[in-house]
Amino acid sequence: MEEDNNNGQQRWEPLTTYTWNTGIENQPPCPNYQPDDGGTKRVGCPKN
Amino acid sequence: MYLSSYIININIGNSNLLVNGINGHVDLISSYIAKLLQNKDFKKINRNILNRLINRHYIFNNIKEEEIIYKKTEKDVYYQLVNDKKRSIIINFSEACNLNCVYCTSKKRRKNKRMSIEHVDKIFEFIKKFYKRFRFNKNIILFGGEPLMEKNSSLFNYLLKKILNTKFKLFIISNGVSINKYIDVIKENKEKIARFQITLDGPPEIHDKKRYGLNYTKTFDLILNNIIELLKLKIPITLRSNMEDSSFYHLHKLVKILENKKIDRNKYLKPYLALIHTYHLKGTSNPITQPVKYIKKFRKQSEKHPELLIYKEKNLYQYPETFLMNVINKRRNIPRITPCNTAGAKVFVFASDNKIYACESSVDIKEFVLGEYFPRIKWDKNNVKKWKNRCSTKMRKCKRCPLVFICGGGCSLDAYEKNKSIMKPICDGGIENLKEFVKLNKDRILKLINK
Repeated sequence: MEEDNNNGQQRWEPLTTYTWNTGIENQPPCPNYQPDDGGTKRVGCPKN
Repeated sequence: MYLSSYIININIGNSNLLVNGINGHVDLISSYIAKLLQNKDFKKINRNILNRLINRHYIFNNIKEEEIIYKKTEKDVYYQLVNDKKRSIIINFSEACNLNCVYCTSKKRRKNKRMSIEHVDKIFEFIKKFYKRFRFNKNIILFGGEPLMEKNSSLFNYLLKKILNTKFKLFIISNGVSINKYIDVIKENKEKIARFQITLDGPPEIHDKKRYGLNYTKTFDLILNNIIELLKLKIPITLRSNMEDSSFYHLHKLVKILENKKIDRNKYLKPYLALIHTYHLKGTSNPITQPVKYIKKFRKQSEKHPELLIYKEKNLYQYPETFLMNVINKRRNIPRITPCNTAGAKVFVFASDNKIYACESSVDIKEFVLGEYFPRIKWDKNNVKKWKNRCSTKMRKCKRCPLVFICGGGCSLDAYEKNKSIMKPICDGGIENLKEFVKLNKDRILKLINK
């Protein structure tokens, strides 16, 4: 918390320390349902 | 100097939370500074603090600087959206259902057309063809209509055979009334069932008024018995309870019934509270417009009935509230320019009319068609392009909103139902709702910040 030395009326505190433009959030296909793995585990082609 | 137009300034006790909609920063400032900012009285702000606010892009030298930072974020996020390879597969065997629930999203588009075995083959040809280009979610979602109608049994059995030697599993969104007819096949293939989602909207006197069908006038007991049978097989279930005014005050009675059946704390049962507040749920008597007021109701009710806490309050949060609580709990946020994976064309819904749709509840709406998979694959390039652009940064109304990278622009199907266009956002007063949320959680938030 950074404070003004004179009267303490001026205070500032950062609550975040990151910049966020680093990825797309994994989302379920629709927020109406919540898959067990949060929709994050993916696989490729079926073997057959 | 120029005060960013992407700031949300929210009073909390003697302080204010500053939310920066361009870069996701949140800062706590004294209300005195908040007032100086509001009045653009920058000269009175302590120089050190002013420099901090400039560094964190609350204040720019001019509007051009803000545009540059906005465009950079927009470009980065959109690039990641269109280059993301993850896709989900949803199969609607049919839009037909054995129930006729009051708030159903699909019933007005209900048809008795059903897939054939050949359709299922074609879905797997599609997966094979695109397995290098896309990364498919391992859980194939079965939706509909009701996927476990008795008439679908040969399709269901065939699908299970198709995924037998693969990593795919099924996530089945079922109304639960006919699971007993499938219990043997589920038992034999239980390693292929990832999860069920089944709905109970309250105790029988509430649930049965909302979820019934021609041949099923009372469904509560039947569904509950089927849930118990699935739990005996240790199959995970999301127990969804749809809440609106008329049902909210009865939910504890449902929990009591679960307690009596000794399943309320079953580790395979995950209760999930959902608000009925979307435009496409036309059947609801009273769609919810201020979600925060239901958080208040839930809290008040759970003080009276602590058993309600098997449900999580956070299920009632909208995206801005989730964003803020992530910050307060020191969890990382990532920008959100789409409300779900449907927007961005990341979901392929295979329907019985040979088409691939963008959203599982949109079958029969032309604007939602991404292409065809039967008899051969054919993309609707215009629609695919449109769906890739269905994000907040491409919608005029959202571009100047401080929540542009937080709320995602609202449900596309709601947008279509309300505006007959997916390219208009659905705006449910996100900023006002967030302010109400902070007011409601003032003590909790301040305590967490000071921890």
